[in-house]
Amino acid sequence: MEQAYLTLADTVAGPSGPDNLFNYLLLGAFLFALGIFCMITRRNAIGVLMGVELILNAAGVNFVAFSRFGNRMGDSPGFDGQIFTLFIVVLAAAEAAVALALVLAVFQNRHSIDVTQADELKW
Amino acid sequence: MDSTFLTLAAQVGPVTDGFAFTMAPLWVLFLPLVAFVLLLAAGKRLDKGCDVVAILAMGVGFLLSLCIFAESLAHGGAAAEGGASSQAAPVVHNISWLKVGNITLTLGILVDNLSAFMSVVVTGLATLVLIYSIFYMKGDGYYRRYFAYMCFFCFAMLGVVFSSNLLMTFIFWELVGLGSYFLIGFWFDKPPVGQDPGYQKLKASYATGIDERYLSPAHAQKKAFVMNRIGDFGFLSGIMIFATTMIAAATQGNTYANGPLEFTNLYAAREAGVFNNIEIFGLHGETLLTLAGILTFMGAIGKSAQFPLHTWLADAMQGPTTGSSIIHAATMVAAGVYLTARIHPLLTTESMFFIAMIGGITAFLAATMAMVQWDIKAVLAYSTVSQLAYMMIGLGSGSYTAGVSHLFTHAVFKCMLFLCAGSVIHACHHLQDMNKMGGLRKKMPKTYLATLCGVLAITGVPFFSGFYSKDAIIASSIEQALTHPENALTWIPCILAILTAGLTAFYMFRLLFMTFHGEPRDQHVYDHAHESPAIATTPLLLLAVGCLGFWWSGHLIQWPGGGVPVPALSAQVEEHGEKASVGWIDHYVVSPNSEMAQPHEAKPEHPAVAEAGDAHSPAEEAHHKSHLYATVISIAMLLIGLMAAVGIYLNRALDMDLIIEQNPGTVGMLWELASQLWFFDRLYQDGIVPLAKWFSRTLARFDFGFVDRILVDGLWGWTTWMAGTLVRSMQAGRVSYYVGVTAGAVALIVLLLLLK
Repeated sequence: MEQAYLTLADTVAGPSGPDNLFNYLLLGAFLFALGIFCMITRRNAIGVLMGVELILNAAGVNFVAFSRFGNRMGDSPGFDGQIFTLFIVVLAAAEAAVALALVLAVFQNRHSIDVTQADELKW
Repeated sequence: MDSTFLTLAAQVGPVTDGFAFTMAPLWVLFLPLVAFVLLLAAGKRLDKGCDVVAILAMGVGFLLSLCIFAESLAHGGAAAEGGASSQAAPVVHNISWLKVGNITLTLGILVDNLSAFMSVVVTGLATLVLIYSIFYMKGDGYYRRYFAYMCFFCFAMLGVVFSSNLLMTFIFWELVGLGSYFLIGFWFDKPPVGQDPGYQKLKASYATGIDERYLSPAHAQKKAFVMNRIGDFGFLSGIMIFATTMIAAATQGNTYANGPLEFTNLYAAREAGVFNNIEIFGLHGETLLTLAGILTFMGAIGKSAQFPLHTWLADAMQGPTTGSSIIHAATMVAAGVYLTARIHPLLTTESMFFIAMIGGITAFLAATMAMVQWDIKAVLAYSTVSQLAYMMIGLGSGSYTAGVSHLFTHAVFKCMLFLCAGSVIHACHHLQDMNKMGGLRKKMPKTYLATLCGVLAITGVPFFSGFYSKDAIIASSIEQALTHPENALTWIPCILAILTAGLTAFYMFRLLFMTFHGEPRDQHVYDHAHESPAIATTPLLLLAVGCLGFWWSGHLIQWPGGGVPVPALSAQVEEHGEKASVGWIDHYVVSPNSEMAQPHEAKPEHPAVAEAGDAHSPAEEAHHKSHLYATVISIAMLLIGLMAAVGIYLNRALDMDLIIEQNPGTVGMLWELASQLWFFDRLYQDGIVPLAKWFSRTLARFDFGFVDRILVDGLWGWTTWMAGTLVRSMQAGRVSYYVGVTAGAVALIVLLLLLK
């Protein structure tokens, strides 16, 4: 087909304009990076969990993007990616519940949810 | 053992792969080891039966050894009917042990008349000594350990006897040293004699030359082992020279690749001139062989307590007397002589001269030291050193027969003498000072009889065993000196041997007279003395029979017309064209084996047929003359020594102290020198030992101070610590940090994959 890679020039004004796979993947990557940044820099445990949510949703964005632009299975209109994303959302919710339970337990023991204070594995 | 028996045996046909040559030696060898392990493992359960186990092991070994010896004789007789030698080739059975390249080092059993007879002697003496030990060691708290150690020692000694190559000999050599270490230091918790009140009370008033701070079983065992090791350094060097030569020859395609250090291969190699083709340290040929021979003999110097490594044997008297009788009389110290006999075909004129010189010096030195001892065991210890030196003189004078026959005669009578000393010591309640004994002949008749036989044998009285072998040695040394007029120094071993014969007579009869004759010097001791029970005196009397001469040389007792009283014990040989009888041990055991190449400079032992008339070659002349001279001289020296001993110690016509007082310059100085053991003990203890300790301390200081402190703890320790500190700072303990590192690593991997 076309060239293997899309260059920066194709990013904004690609074959179909700004509505191309690369831009959505870029969005997903950006969200992922934001989530990582959140996980690393937040002191509050809830903040870290927000970062986790961001990461999970970034993955969901990736799925949706591929369902719109990526390889299709036969003639299917390509809802697979969007179904995956729904699953991700549900699982994220479940995982958040568990994580909050953990945070609660930690708080009951330490009366603080500051992750920088949980460094007993330090040398 | 005459030809009828041999032809019968030949008809039955002993097979060299039969039981007697393969399994029986292994049984003889390993039974004592099994007994040792059993006695150690069974612990207190065998406190009562340990003596039976040990005696059974050695007794069965003795019976098997007799079988092996009989088979070996038959094998030799059958194979050598009408041949020049009375013995067949040694029968060797090997297993391959280490394969290095295409060289195979082996472990194996060598059965020939010498090793078979030696094993008979070792097992027989061990059995008798163990029976005697039931009496001697009774009541000792370490009774079981004693029998265990004796079994271990016998295992090691039999290993030396049966070993087929030099390396295996070395291995068992070390084990023998270990066994001796165990037995010398048997009462390891005894304090040094300087602090032992019992010893201080019992000892005589004059000095012995041994530092009393360093005379204890623990010190003695250490001294023995270390001095043995010094000799082993030379032994190993000699083995290395032989090994290098043989392996080099093997790589050039000779047949020595399988068992380069086998005795049979070494003899063949020397015959084939292998030693001329190699150069080690710039030496080759005869000089290389001389070096190898001297180095290997250093092992014998250590093991057989020759000058300069002779000081450990007297200290070894700290061990039990029965242990001494088997180790320091009959077997271990004989291992050195046995080794020298085995390498005898590999010796050159120069190395034999070296051996004879060492032997001569040691014989004389030790005899002088024996003359001044007040401790009955010490006299016997120095006597052993002196007699071993005699064997070395014999071997060094080119006469394998003389040295080896003295080995066997000495084993029997010295073992017995030690047991007699043990009997006396026991009767006098652990008193060893001869000054306090006297007149015990009436109280201990059987012990006296045995001791008398032993003394007559060792001094070389005709019709006793020692006369024959000692005569042979002196004769061979005279012959060596006569046939080598170019080297005037060959007279030195000869003269020293003759002088020592006189001294031997003197100190042995001194021992006899001081202990058994005369008036009792200490009435208390005399009153309490009593004869030992039958279990002790029976071995003594059995051994006393072994001291008689007819076993060794049938022609000492020869009826006119050529018959001998005990025809079964002699062999008919053709000697100088006439039939003669020689003792069967002489003919079958101690004659050099036909496979053992005759030493290259030897004179013929039994020259071939004499020509009609009396055109004797010069060698034959020397041979005849030397035997005549030797007989006359040795009897003369014997009488001189005897007269001196009678005069001083029996009749009290002369008084030793008075003689010393009146001749301070000569006799007094010599007496003092001998009492101080020629200062060798002092030299080693105060000179060499502190030097070695200083050297060790300096090296230790270097090790601890520099290597440990600066290098290990300092440099490398610091480096490791720094590296650890750097690495462990990555363990921050915070989850967010871990997430970041993980994410970064994943990103890095993806980047690398993309860029590939």
